Amino acid sequence: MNYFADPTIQRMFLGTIVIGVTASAVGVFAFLRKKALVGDAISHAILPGVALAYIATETRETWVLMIGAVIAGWLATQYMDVLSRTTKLKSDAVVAIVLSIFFAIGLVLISWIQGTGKDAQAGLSDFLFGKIAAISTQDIYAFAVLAVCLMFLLLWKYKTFYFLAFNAEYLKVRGFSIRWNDMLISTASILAIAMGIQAVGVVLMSALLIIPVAGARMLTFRILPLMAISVLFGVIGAVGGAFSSTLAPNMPTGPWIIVVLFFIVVVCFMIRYFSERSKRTSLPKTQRHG
Amino acid sequence: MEKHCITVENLQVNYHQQVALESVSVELPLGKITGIIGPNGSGKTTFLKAILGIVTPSTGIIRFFGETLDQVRQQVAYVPQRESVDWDFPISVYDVVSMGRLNPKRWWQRVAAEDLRIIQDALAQVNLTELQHRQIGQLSGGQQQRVFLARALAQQASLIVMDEPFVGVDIASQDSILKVLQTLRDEGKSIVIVHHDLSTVATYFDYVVLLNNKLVAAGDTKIMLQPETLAKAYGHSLLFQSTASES
Repeated sequence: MNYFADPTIQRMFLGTIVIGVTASAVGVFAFLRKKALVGDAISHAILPGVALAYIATETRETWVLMIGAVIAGWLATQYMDVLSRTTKLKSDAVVAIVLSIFFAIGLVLISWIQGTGKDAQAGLSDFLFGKIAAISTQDIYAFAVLAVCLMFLLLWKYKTFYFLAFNAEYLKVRGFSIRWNDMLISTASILAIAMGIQAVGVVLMSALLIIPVAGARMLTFRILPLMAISVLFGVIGAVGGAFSSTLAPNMPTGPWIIVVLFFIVVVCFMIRYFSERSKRTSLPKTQRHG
Repeated sequence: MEKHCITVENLQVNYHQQVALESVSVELPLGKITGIIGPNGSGKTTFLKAILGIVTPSTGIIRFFGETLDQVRQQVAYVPQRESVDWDFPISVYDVVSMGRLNPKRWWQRVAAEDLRIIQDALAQVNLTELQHRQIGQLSGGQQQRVFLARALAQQASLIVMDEPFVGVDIASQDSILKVLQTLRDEGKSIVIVHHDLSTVATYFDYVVLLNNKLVAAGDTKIMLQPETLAKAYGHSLLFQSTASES
């Protein structure tokens, strides 16, 4: 097994697995809350945060850039919230506006950094499409700790988050704090996205949140299997994508992960299609449901 | 001893500079089935959402059993309008009913053995035991409405507040829902229902509140169904239709 003896390969697999697990688990709740596009806006909004963190500190330390990323992601979330509350804009327009504004600012900042000639060592443009090879061993440890915290939060609060996505008004009447739980979920999403962009890139990050659960949804409607299958798909996508990207030199990891996930969704769709067809043919007409 | 399940004083709700409800003061009786009646757009649902704190009113003091909502939250069960629910949501009948056993004060929302028994009892009361593992979209309209009634039962509340529970529901389900509600009332629970179909008011409700962006009248059903009172809420054309269909 010479292949796995290479520390770069080891880091790549470990890194993508940690990111894949966290993103797909958090993604379940973004999907249930019908906020798939909000995740996309957050991941694009993170770019100017990363760039500003670099400009301010001139270091490429992951934790410094993470802080910038989280602040930018949080600001974008707040901005979307304010826009939809104070204007008559619908949520799709709000998401489109915030996504493009933050992304544009991020691109302007990165090209400015490149103009000053510092990007050679910063490699900030890697954040656009992701470069898993840039991950260090310390990064993986830090990400693993963060991933464990986020998974603990989800396992602890999944019922509240699940029911909140289904029927927030009922939980409000029962005395649950909608704001507090909303805040917990969006913070978890921002952290999971900020963690993933280095490997997958801002452009494709939201796909890693949504595609696993979209596939899992075709196989089950129960929350725990939905979470378990999503995470499994996240891991398969991460491992499959990382492996595929090593088959030829200079292939990107992020896009490969998404391509693998796409094949998983196709398989799920086929399983769903054929199981429904066999159900229909085995039942007499009057007993059909849904 | 408090004689009212809900007391509303000077409730005013504005939506985008428009008055949805104008200074409503009303008392709803304890241990009765009360109907909140009025034409479309008369602020019935807004009234419910405002007293439950889902919509923030401009003014108004609301008391449940003489206390604030915060003090008696677990005693108040809310059943939303069927159209407001996402029926494609990946959730089973059982899971929806289990929401009745949620407790915001508990850190870990686990289901104890006692809760399991209460959930199964609630499912049995509305005849959904066999269908409990179905996804909610695979039910008929009447069954769907019963899922939410079962959730209110599982909460073991003393007041059940329902928004249009008889809309899009077949006659058999309407009757079975009504039977459950009448049993609850006979056990001393209070039920408040937003309703728009005048033809069934006399059979469903003990007490009626007529709303048309403000309080038109409130009282026992027999007194309230007099033509003059209805005309004030619905206008003469609608009154004519409803009397014609009854004859």
